[in-house]
Amino acid sequence: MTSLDPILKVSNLSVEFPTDDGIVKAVRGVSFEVRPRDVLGIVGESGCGKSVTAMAVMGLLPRTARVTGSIRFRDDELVGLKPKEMRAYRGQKIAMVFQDPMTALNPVYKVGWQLAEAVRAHEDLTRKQARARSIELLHTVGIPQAESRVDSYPHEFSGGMRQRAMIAMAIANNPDVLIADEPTTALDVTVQAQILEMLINLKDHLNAAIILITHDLGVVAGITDRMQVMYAGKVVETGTADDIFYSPRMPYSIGLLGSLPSHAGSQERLKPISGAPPSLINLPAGCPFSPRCPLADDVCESVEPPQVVVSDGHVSACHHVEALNAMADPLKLFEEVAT
Amino acid sequence: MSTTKRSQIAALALGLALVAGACSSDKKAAPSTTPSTTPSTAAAPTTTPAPAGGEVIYAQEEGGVAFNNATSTNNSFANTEVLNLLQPGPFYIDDKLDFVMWKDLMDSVEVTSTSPQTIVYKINPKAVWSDGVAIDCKDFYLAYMAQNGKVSVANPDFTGPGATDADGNALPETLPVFDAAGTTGYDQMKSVTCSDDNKTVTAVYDTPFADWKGTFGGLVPAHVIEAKTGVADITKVDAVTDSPEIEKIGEFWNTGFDGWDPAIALSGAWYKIDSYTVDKSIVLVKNDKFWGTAANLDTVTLQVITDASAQAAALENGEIQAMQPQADPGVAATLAAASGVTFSPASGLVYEHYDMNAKNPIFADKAVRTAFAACVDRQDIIDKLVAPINPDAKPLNSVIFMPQQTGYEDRFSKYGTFDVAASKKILKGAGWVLGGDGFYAKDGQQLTFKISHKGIQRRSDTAQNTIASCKEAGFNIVEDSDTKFNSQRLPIGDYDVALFAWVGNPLLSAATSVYSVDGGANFQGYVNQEATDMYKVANGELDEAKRLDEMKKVDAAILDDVWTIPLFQLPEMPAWSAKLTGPSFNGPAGLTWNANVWTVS
Amino acid sequence: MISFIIRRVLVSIPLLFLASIVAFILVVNTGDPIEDLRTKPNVPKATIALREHELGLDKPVVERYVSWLGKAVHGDFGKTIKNQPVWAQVRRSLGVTLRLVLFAEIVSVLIGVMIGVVSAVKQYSWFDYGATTGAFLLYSLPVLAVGSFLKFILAIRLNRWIGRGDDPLIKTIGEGTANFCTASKPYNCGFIPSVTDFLSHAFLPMLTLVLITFAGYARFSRAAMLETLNADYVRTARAKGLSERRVIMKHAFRTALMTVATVISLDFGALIGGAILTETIFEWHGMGRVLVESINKIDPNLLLCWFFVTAVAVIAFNLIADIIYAVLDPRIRLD
Repeated sequence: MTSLDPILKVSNLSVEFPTDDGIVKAVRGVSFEVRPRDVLGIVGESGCGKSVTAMAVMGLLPRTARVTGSIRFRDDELVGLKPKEMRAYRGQKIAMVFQDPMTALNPVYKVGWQLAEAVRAHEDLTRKQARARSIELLHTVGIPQAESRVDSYPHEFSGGMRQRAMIAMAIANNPDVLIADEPTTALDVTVQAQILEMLINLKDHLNAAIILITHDLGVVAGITDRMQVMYAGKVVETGTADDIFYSPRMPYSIGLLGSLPSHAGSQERLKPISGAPPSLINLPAGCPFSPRCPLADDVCESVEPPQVVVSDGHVSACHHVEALNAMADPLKLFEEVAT
Repeated sequence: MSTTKRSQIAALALGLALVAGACSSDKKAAPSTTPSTTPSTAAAPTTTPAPAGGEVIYAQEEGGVAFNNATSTNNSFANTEVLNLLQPGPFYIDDKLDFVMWKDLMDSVEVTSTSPQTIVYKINPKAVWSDGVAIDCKDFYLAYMAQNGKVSVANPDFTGPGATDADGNALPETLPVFDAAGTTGYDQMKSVTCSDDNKTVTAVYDTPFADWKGTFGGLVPAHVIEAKTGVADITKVDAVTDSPEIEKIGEFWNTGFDGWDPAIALSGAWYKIDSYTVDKSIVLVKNDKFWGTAANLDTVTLQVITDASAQAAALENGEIQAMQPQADPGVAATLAAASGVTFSPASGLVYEHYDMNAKNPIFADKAVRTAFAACVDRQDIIDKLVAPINPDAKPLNSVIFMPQQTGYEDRFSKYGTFDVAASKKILKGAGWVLGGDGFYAKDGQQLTFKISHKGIQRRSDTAQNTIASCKEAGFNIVEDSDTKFNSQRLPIGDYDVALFAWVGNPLLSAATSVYSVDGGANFQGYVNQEATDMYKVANGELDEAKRLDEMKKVDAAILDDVWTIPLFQLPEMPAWSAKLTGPSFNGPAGLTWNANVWTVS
Repeated sequence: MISFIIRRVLVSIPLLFLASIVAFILVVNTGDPIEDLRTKPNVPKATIALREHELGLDKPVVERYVSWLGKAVHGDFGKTIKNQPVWAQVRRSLGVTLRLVLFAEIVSVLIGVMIGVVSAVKQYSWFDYGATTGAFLLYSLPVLAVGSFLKFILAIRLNRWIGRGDDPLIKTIGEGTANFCTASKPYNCGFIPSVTDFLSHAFLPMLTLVLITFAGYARFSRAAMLETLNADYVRTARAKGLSERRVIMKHAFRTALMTVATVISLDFGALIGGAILTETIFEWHGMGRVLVESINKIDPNLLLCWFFVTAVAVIAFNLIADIIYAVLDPRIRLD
C-alpha cells in the first residue's frame, strides 16, 4: 500500500430520512477521500450534514435512513453492508470520538471496563490482558496514574480526562480512520489545544487518517491538510486550509471566516451571517445559501451551482467564483454589503 | 363496602326480638324431620341406605369465630351455622320455625308445674361431650349462671356518683361479670337445680315465660371451665351472687371459647372441630363419641367467602357444595342459569313494613289508615323488587307469625289489597273531599304526609311505588330519605310513616315490645290496651294450644287497627350442588341446620 | 451504606409515629364499633357498658391512643372487636398477600420489562404498535370484568371440558382448598400436594394481576429504554463495534434498569397493603381484605395493624428502592 492510496473514499454520498413532514435530505452528494496521516476538516453549522456524513461512514444511522452513493474502505464497499458485517469495521478500522464526553461514556461502568470492552470487541483477549491494554491506552492518552484511574467511574473524571478516555477507547484497536466529531466543543479552551495536539500526535503514531468535524474554523486552522465546507447537506467548498482561509471562493465560507475572532481581528466586531439555514425538507431550487448571500441573483435562486474548480484541489460551488476572484478582499464581502 | 347480610339484619332488628342467633343458635336437626326420608310405606329397614361418606364445603359470608355464641362480643349467625352441627341443646328450630326437642340429647322435657312454672329436663345418660365427659346438668347450670344478668362487679372506672365517660355519659357503678348477649328467660328463673346424678335439670321460674323452649340453647361444656378455672363443682357456686369463683368462671366464659380450639370447643353432636384457620375455614369431621344416629358426610367444611358472586362461581365450578349468600338479583340470575346447581330462593325472616305514627293527628282517623293500606300496591312492589330473586314471594299478612310457622293465617289482605276505588270510597265515606289538585282534604287539612327511611335503594323504590299508587287515590305523599333515620329518628318517633324492617322470630313473644303500650320498641306510639293485655296473657300461657289461639287474636287485633302495614319478606337465596341431597332453608338456624342428614352422590 | 440505612430507619420512626396518630384519629372517628349492639334493646344495658369498658370506648381518645401505642411498640396489636388476636389475622393475611403478589409481581415484571424492551428496540414496528395497544387495553380493563371473564369462561368451562367438573383443576376462590390439608388428612400437607393445590388456586388471580399490571411495566420500561437507547453512551457502545445484543443489554437496558427497578420496588411496597380488588374477587383473604373488613366493622385495632404493616412495608421498600438505585448507579453514594 502506498501512502497515496486513499484508505477511505466517499463518493456522491446522499442520506435521506423519511419523516411525517416529508423527506429530509440531510446529505446530498458528498465526496471526499482520506489517506493515512491525512487530516481532513469538515466544517459547517449544526444541521449542515457533517455529523450525518460521519454517522453514515460509521454505519450508525438509524434504520430509517436511506443511504446512496459509495463509501469505500480500502477495497470494501460499506454502503449496503448488513449491521453485523459493519461491526467488523466499526471501532476496529474506523473509530469515532464524540462531541460530549460527559454523556458519551456510560455512567454505570468503570472507565477501564469500557475500554476493555472496546478492546475485546475486536480482539480475543483475556480480561487481564484487556485490563493491561486499558491501562496502556490511558497512558497513551496522557492520563496520570492510569493504573488506579482505570478503576474510576466516568463521573470521577474531569471533562478533559473523559475526552482523553474517549480517545483512548477510539484508538483501542489501532483504527485506520479516526473520526472526531466536535471533539473539543464541550471542553474549556486550555484543554482544547491539548486534546487537538494529542490527536495529531496519535495520527502519526497510528498511521491513521483523521476526519475532524467541527463548526469552528479555529479548531481546524493549522492542523488540517484539507478542508470541506458543508452547507445544507452539500459540500460548498473544498480545498487546502490555506485555500479556504486566504482565498475563499464561496460566500458561506467567507461568512464562517468572518465569525472567527482571530481571523476577523480583535479590533473588529464579529459579523455573523444573518438568517438561518434552509429547511432540508423543502430545499429551494437554486443555491441553498442564496437567501443569506449578498451576491445572490436570479440565477442563484433558480439554478443550484455546480462544483467549479478554482485552482488545483480548490473547488467551490458558487455561481460567482469569477466575481470573487475579481474582488480585492473577498473577506470584506459581508461588511461591504452591510454598510 | 357492603355490610354483611347478618349485620344488616342486626341493624334492622333494632333490637326487636331475641335475635334468633343469640338465644336459639343451637337447634339440632334430627334425621326424622328431614323431608328427604323415604316414603312412609317403607317401614322396613330394607330401603336403599343413603350413600355414606363424602365431603361438603359450605360457604359463609363471614367466619364464625367463637364456640360460645351467647356473648355479645361474638354472637353471630356465622357461629350458628357452625354450632348447628356440634353444640348440644334441648330444642332445635326446624324449617317450619317450630321448636323440636332433640331426642338424641333429651329423654324428656316436661312442664311439671305452671305455678310456679317448673320445667324438668331429663338428659340422655349416654350423651357425652367429645372428650367423653357426660353432658349434664352442670352445663345447664352454667348457661343459667352466665345469662341471668344478676352478677356484677364494681366498675373500676367509677369514681363516684356523677362519674362520666369520655362522651359525657354517666358511668355505671357496676359491670356485669358475664358478657351475655341477652338475658331473656333466664332473668325470670328463680332457680336451676341438678339431681339424679346431674342427669336431671329443674328450672323454676319467678314469673311464667311461655317461650321457655328458647332457653338452654348453645350449651358450652362446664367441665372445661371447671378445669380451666380450678372451680371444683360449678353447681356449688351461687349463680346470682358475685364471688371470686364466679368471676373466674365469667372471665373464661366471656373469652375462653374464642377461636375453635378443639380441646375447648368440644362437640356434643354429630361433628367436631378438625381444624380452624382464622378468616378462612372451619373443618368439621365426624364426632366419634357421638352416641346417636351418625351423620352421613365425612366432613363438613365452612369456608368464608364474602362475595356473593364469588360464592356462585365457586358453586358452579364445584369448589363448594352449598351456600346462602346475601340476596342480589345479578347473583340470583347467575344461580338460576347455572348448570348442576339447585337454586332455591326463599322468603327470609327480615320483613319490610310501614308504620304510621300516632303523633301525627291525621292518622287518628282510621279511614285514613285503611285507605292508605288499600292504595299501597304490595303485589306490584314485590313483583318489581323481590320477584327477580324469589318469584314465589307473596305479601306478608301477619306481624307475629312467619308464613311457614304454625298459626300463620292471612289476617291483612282484607286491608292490604291494592284497590284505588275502595281507598277513595273509604275516604269519601269519612268526609274527605277530593280537591281540584287531585288530593283529598278535610277541614282545610290536605291528605299529605311523608314516608321516611334510611336511604337505601330498595326502600326508595318502595316509597316511590307507594307515592305513585296512592296519588291515584288522592294521597299527597312525599319521600323522606335520611341515612340517620334508623339510628336517630326512628327510635324517638320522628316521622309520619316509617319504612323499615323487623326480624321475624320463632319465639312468639318477640314482638311484645313493639306492639305493647309503652313497649321499648313501640316507636310509633301504638296504643291498644286490650291487645297489650292479651299479649301479656299469651306470653305467660304455658298451654301451647291455648297460647296459639291467644297469639292469633293478638295478631288480628294489631292488624285490624291498621297502624302497621306489613309489606314483604326479604328474599334469601340458598343454593346447593345438584349432587347434594337434603338442604332445606331455615331462616334462624341457617342451611346447615340439618347437614347431618345431607348426602352427596 | 450501613449508616445510611440506620439513619433512614431512625428518620422513619417519627414518621411512623405521626402517621399512626393520624390513622388513629381517622379510625376512631369512622363510627361506633358496637352500634349494632346498642340498637338491640334486648341486649342488656349492662352488657353494653361492659363492652364499652373492654374496648376502651369510655376513655378519652388520647388515653386510648397511648394505650394502643404502648402495646403496639411491644408488638402487641391487641384484639379485634370480635376479641380475636389481631396479629394472628394480619400475619396470616400478610402471608396470603405475599404469596399472591410476589409471584404475580415477578411474572408481571418479567413479561412487562421484556415486552417494553422489545417495543423500545423495535420502536414503531408492528410489535411495538401491537404491544402498546394491547398494554393500553389491558391497563384500562376493570379488574372485576377480567376476573368474572376468567372465572366463568376459563375456569368453569375449561374444567368441565377436560372432565374435571367435580374436581376442578382451576379454582376460583381462596388461596387453598379449605378441607385439603387438615388434621384428618395429613397426607395432603406435604410439599408436592400443597404446591399443586396452591397452583390450582393461584392460577386465576395471578393471571388477573399479571394481566392488569404487566402493561404498566411494559409501558414504563419502553419509555425508560427509549430514553437510554437514544443516549450518547449507547451510540458510543455501537461505535465500538459491539453486537447489538450487547449494546441493548449491557448499555441501554442496564441503565434503564435503574429507574425500572426503583419503580418496581416502590410498587412492591405499596402492594403489601393488598391487591384489594383481586383479593376480593378471588376471595384471597389477604391484606386487602383486612383493610376492607376493618373499615366495614369499624375495627380500630385491626385497621391500625394493617396500617402499621403497610406503612412499614412502604418505608422499607422506599429504602430498598434507594439502595437498589445506589447499587445500580455508581454516581449515587449513600452516606
